[in-house]
Amino acid sequence: MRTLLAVSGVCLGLLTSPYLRADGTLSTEELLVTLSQSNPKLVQTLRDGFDLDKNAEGAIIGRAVNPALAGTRIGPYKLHGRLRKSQSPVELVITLNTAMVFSDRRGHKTASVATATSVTETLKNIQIETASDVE
Amino acid sequence: MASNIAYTIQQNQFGDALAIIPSESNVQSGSILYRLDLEMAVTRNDAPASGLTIGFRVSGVQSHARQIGPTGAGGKATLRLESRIVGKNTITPLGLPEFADCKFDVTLGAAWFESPFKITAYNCCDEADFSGPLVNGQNVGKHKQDFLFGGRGICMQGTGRGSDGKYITITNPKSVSWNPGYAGVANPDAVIFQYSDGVHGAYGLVTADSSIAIDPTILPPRHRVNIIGPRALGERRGDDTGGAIKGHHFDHYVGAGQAAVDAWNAAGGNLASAKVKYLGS
Repeated sequence: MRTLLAVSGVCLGLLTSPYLRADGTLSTEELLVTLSQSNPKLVQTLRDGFDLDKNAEGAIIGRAVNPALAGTRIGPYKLHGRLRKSQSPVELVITLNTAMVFSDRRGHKTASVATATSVTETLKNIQIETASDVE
Repeated sequence: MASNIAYTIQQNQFGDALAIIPSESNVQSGSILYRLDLEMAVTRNDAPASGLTIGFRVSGVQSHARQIGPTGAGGKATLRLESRIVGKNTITPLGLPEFADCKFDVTLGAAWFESPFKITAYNCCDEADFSGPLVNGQNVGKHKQDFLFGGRGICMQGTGRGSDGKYITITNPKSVSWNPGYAGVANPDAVIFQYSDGVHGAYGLVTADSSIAIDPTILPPRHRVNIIGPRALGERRGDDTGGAIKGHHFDHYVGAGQAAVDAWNAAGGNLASAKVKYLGS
């Protein structure tokens, strides 16, 4: 049975993790700084409520698909952490779901990742699961 | 009455006598820039020669050496060699005949990157990590749908390892159209796959725990480094690159699947400030 944790301002439902696979690692701090531009309140909620591991994981764009964007990490992202004020901290897996937009050289949204020259992400929501339910 | 220049290689900030690759330098014509400081002790008529500035030339068109300030009271000054020549570099004084024979040979090879590196890790997707129905992929038969066509699968990553252990790559990524949200391909029938002998980086096949993706303006392609610490990873080679790998950043290839990333994290994960020694081609 999955354990759900309620966090103020974070909408949670019964979860089926979209994140069973990780493709590339990145710095949690760098990720949060980037995502705070699109959703500062949600990022601050994460910072205030959780002790987060320094490493995050994300999907990755491959060189065979788009050399110019190769190595770029994209969502959904996975973090490990623990509820800060818990007296018996449980290892959590926190998934950050983002909305992505790939744009071409003219700045127009494109459905082709291969021909895109940039990608922007907006943090939409987070999902929290106990690590024992995910891994 | 003798005149002489005695040269001594100065110890660097890493505690040895290797050259430094300056933080601000870039690869040019496939070569890194070496910087090596030497102490020069100048004597004239068997006495220390102070207030003296000497010009130098170095063998090789991409090399130069310059004295930093005139010699002091003890006849000493720092001589800075900057070179892109691997192997022997001969420093020769210019202009003052009495020092014409005071040459010095420096051999350049391994060197320290002055700037620390950020080290992250990446994998290729593994069908074993995916779920969902089996669907047909052109040229490769039935595989899990998300592995072939999902936003975490081959159509985004480029290459993946199938459940049979064979590597599969996409051949026509520009023909792929993604559904809104980029979680899945909108036109799977247009995607053409082929089997591959492995994961091909920009400069050759990548090998787990051996290959790194590099910025080729920082490390020449296929050149080797030793990642020393704070967690020693050992010798790695720049087999890959990508537009997102910029500056002093190595993306370390860990192999296929989630298990490879888990192992990386279990070993300590990313390095924010790694000490790196350049080893050469």
